Amino acid sequence: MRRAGFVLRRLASAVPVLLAVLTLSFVMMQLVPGDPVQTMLSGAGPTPTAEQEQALRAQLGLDRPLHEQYLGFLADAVRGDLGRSVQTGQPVVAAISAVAPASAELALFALVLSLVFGVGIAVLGRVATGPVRSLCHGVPVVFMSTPGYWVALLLIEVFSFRLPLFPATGDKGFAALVLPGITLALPAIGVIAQVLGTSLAAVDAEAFVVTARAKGAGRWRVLLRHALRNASIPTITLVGTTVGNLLAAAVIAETVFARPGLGRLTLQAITNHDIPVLQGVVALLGVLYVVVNLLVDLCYVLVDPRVTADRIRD
Amino acid sequence: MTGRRAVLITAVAVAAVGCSTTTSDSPAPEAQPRSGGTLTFATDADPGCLDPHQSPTAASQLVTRGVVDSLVAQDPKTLELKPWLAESWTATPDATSFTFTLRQGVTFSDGTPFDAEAVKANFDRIVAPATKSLLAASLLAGYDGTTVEDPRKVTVKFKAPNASFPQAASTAFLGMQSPKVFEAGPEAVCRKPVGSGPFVAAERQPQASITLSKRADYNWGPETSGHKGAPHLDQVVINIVPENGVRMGSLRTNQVDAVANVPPKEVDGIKGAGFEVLAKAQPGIAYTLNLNAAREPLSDVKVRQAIAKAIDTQALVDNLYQGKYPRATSVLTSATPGYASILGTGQFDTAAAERLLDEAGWKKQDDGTRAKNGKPLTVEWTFISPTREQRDLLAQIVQQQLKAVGVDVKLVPLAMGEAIAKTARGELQMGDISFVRADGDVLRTVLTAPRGGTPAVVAPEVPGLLSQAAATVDDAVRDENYAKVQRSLIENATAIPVYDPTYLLGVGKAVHGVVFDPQGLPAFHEAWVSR
Repeated sequence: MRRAGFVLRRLASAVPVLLAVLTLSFVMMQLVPGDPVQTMLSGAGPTPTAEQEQALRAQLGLDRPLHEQYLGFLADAVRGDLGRSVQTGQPVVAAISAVAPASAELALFALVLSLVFGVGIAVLGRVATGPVRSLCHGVPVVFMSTPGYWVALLLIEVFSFRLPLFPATGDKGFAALVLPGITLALPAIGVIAQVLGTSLAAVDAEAFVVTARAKGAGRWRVLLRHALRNASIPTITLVGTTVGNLLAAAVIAETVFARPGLGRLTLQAITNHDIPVLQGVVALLGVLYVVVNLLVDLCYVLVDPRVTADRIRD
Repeated sequence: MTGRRAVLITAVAVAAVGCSTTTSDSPAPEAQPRSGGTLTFATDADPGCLDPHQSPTAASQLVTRGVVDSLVAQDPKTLELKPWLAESWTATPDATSFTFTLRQGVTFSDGTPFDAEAVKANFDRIVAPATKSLLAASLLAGYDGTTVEDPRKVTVKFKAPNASFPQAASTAFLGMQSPKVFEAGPEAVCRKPVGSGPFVAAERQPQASITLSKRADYNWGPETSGHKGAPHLDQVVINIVPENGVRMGSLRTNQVDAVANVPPKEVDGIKGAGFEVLAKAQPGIAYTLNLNAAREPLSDVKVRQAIAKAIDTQALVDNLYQGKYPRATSVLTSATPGYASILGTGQFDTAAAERLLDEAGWKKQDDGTRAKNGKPLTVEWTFISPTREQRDLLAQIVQQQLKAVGVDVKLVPLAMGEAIAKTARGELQMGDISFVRADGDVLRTVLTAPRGGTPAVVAPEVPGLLSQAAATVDDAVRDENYAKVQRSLIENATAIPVYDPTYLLGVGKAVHGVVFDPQGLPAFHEAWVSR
């Protein structure tokens, strides 16, 4: 029951955060340099007429006072109406939901890869000896510092063009997920492996580990039963932020691998000055942020029974 | 905002209309076309809106040209206008009224018959403000309405002469769509245009691909086409692959059959690997630098001429584009009707540039820069970022070349909206543009159409020459006037043409019959695959 109450309270606290996110997205769009109407009409070459400009301004509600625009935007957003894309005329919600599954699929796959290999490398780095251990300590740094764009092109060159194992582009099936997934996961693997590795090293010296070992527990048993659980709190926090980073990094992966997704939608919206779409993406990211943080908090409780929901928030 | 201000138009998402004959080589004629199969094509830009009445982009044209037919066809080679959905047409001598006799038996892919009412519905719809047309409406500038004479005869009237209207009517921008789809509103047409063309817009995956499927009962291809019936291909799948390297690799590894916009530096490699690269110079305004004669220090013709002479266009084009985009020799590209070779091989002359600047009173200082009355010679070049065709690099090379004669160029990359607002305020000193259209009338659109209320700074006789050209169907008069305008622009050095934009299309071995349409874009009606 305490957990249910905790979830409810956390959900309630998300409301002001969402409001702030929406407000911020509105303000941000006001601050973007350039006249959106001029930009939208610029494809016309030299001749958009004053009537065209006026019509578009009215259609976007840009001729109304700022506070009216803001309140209108909020009211619509609450009803789940984020307006229509200026470029395609498609409702923003539809534009986002058309590509969101592809993004979610990619992010989820990358997250699984990051966790499996990140935790794997950290654990191996504790139990292995000699060159394998050195490798496990060195690799995360390399992964973190390799530019995603370069990795993406390298993966395509090797695993799609030279060895035709995976398609270079598209989003058809699992095979098309592999290369962009690896591109996206590599830096996250690096970060998770390093943070968890450091935590594991710190936990190693703690009394309960020493005790467990003194009682005759084997290396693996100590690691898996005792150390890993205790060292995982900072990693969970990290996974939370990684989800956010995955979406940001997705712009590169989606562009290079020609996958549909939120990253490209955002990039396109920025280029086209498609304000309703941008606002929609920002709002969605706000919601995601709130949800992920909620999940992270819940994970704390699950992983470490000593940590109660109330204590986390203190 | 009164007085004459230069409009230095910087258009990146440039519209495409036009045609060409130069540098076009087509694949060797093959054996009998094979029916069936799918052609996979990788393009670089997401077309967004697929309604040609609304969208001005080449990316959108590439898709919609196969879906909508036009009243008139323009021959890609001779640039002549030929019948298509209109069997014939007449113009009044003052070029204000055009009567079309329509072909019978044509239907849109939703079953709606094509007739005079449909033509009227299309033109009326294009100029209606609710359509938010970004280019098509400007091709109908001065539109005074369409009269249905009988089901097969229709008259389009203009308030002012519009001699280039039949050419405009040959573009997909004024293409015919089923009037039935207009009821669903502009947004719906953006997603799925319905025309009478050889292909039907079938499936669309956002940001990923668009599938065109064959219209089996198509039988009204234009006279300009070698093939009038249904397409050989069952489907054309257009994948959107923005990254150049990946697009080229996909061609090399046969993951796709053809690729759009081969980067010039990749052309030789792709040919070396046994693939073909077809080139088509696009008609219209060449990629041109514009100098705003209404702003200091460019108000001095000697300064403008010096800048024009200090830019080594040939070296620039050779180095940056490896000669794959031809050097421009006039403001119109050599593929444009009305083009006149103004520059020949001349122009680059640093000694003359230095002399002109000295004469204009800009003295060279010890550090190599020039100044007059203590004021440094600085020119601000505003370009839209992000650029295409490496125009950002081009700007840097020009900056270096001008530095050599003591002109300090400040490069100001701006987002499109900001750059255009600045242009409209007349604040630009230096800008750039290219604009595709297969008619010399494009000069009128670019030079005299007011943008933000400010017409371009041109010699006093230019607007008159352009209106005269628009008011006659006599090609000799039009060509002569366009030549005078081109010469005036170069002599006054308000425009410095750099290169003729060229479409480079990479095609795999199994692909045959891909031709360029008059817009300089690949067309798939006659294409087939052997495998």
